[in-house]
Amino acid sequence: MNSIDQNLEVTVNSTRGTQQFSFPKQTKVEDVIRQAVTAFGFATGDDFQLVMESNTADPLQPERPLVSYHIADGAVLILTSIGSGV
Amino acid sequence: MAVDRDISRAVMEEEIALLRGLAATYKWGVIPDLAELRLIVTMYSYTNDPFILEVMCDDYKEKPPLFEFVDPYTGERGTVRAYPRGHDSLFHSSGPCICAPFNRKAYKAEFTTGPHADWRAGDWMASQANKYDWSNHTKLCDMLGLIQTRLSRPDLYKGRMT
Repeated sequence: MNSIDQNLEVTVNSTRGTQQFSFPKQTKVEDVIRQAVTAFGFATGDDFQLVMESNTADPLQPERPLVSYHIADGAVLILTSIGSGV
Repeated sequence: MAVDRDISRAVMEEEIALLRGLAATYKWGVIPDLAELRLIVTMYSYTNDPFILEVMCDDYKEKPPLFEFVDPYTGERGTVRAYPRGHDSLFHSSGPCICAPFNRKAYKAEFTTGPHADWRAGDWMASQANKYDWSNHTKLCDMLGLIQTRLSRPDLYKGRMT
């Protein structure tokens, strides 16, 4: 098996555009969030979450690896933030 | 000091262009009226409840935009029925309004119903209100994305305000 097969090619959509990423399948959601936040240039203190485009109601759990959600190549993920009540 | 309308218009155009990806995902209707510095966005909750947001951008970005929900059934602006109800005070009954530094209507100095006499509109992009860094919500797409997230999740969206 080629090492490239161990990676997932995903698209991450955010309020500041869209980027393509390649992650090992065992990458935890929290690490995907961290890399995406940096890539989009967001301030890091915020509480970001990832959802799948096909199910925006349920955030992916940060401690789970991508593979546990059966995410396939070409999947679209959305980086979200809920702000704060003031 | 008022912001030249052409400058506010140019910023609007730039930020509206960033909306495309999320607009397709969430099935937003995006209707800019650049002459009037107005943006209308239609959204749906996870329960398929329709919402209409009007965003006025005069003096943007010296001041935050003015967000107002419009009742999708009657066309009335700013009624409680036009607003969503959330799990916290972001959708605030005073006004009602979106109670966030990015909304002009949340400022008492701008609107008598504004919940916050302690905020100054000129500081909105660097706000740390409620010990939260609001700098990630300083573009129109950031603000609309946050509002949509509040509508998309069952743990955050609790129906209409009344």
